[in-house]
Amino acid sequence: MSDESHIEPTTMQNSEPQSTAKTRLIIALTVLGIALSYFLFTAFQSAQVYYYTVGEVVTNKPHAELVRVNGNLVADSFTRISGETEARFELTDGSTKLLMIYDGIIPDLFFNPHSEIVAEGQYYEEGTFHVDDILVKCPSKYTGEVTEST
Amino acid sequence: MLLQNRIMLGLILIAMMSALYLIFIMVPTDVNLGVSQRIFYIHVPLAVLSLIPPIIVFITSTLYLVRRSPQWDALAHSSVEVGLLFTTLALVTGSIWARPTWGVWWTWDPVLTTFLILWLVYLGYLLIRSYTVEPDKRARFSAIVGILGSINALAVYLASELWRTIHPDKVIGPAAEENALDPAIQLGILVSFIAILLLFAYTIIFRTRLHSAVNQIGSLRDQIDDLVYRISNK
Repeated sequence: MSDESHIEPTTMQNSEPQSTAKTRLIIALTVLGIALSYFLFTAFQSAQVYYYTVGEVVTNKPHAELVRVNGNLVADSFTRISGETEARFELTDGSTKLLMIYDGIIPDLFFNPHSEIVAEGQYYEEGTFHVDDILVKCPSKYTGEVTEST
Repeated sequence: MLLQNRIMLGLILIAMMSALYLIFIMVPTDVNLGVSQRIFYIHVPLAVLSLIPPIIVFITSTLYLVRRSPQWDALAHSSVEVGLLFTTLALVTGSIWARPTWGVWWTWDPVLTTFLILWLVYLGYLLIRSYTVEPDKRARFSAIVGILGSINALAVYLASELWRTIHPDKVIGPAAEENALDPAIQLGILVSFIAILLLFAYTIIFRTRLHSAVNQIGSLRDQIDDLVYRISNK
């Protein structure tokens, strides 16, 4: 055998795993592409509706649609009949108020005056918002307890 | 090289111990969030550094496509590996922090969603690497995926500016508000950031050396195979 011909067997060896590698790569790229576009789509969707303000919900009246509404807790609006789990409270964006009805666990920081509330649920015609889940939006300023008291 | 490694590891150890001291003993407990806020010192550096690998990958992948030098590919590869580790840890610590503060482990918020996409991009990059056998082709494909995928980091960075989000605003970096932090908290986050940055740099350097060594061994083995083949056919 001459020196040149020795290249052939190596390329022959490579050609088969290469084609399977190619199909695998195409599958991987397709899966990645689909996953990416799906998540980007949901990201943009939820970005537009991640939450509305109280005013937007009251004017747009989103019907039979799961939405999030953001606002501050109206002071002293929280009521719960003792022995019951259903709570009622009001959220405000500064100008408009909306009555919330919620049956579930109240997060620790719910009553903190610095917290904003994000409520997930549905708006009802009569002007109430039935909450499925409550999220608390916390301030991004951090201060120590000690420095605060002095 | 061994001495260099030891010095670097020693520095990381000192920085981490100081960071732990600051986090658990010196810094004040946050007035609103309480003890849970202390995870901030770990979560924020991890999340911020998760956005550095895309920059490295973008540059090194472009350089690879232009120069075709395997070192650039090795650096891109290790940046993604460390990026995957850091994004995973940032997602885990973020989730742990979200539960007591927001009330949920996860929510489909723009910041969180774009960050999850970043994690998936890193995962996809490594998947493609493991599926491609031939080194040159693997490096070429990875470079293309790396360049395309790293653009997503911009979406993560801009998410809180562009869209309404539950995630807190940036407290460090160019987009941060003024006076968002107490001086003691500032010191804590600075030391913790340095500690995690050193670990980040060390891990990337270490992995790059390892990948370069693997590449060298691979090409040496090819040469040996070639030589054996020539001798046996003579």
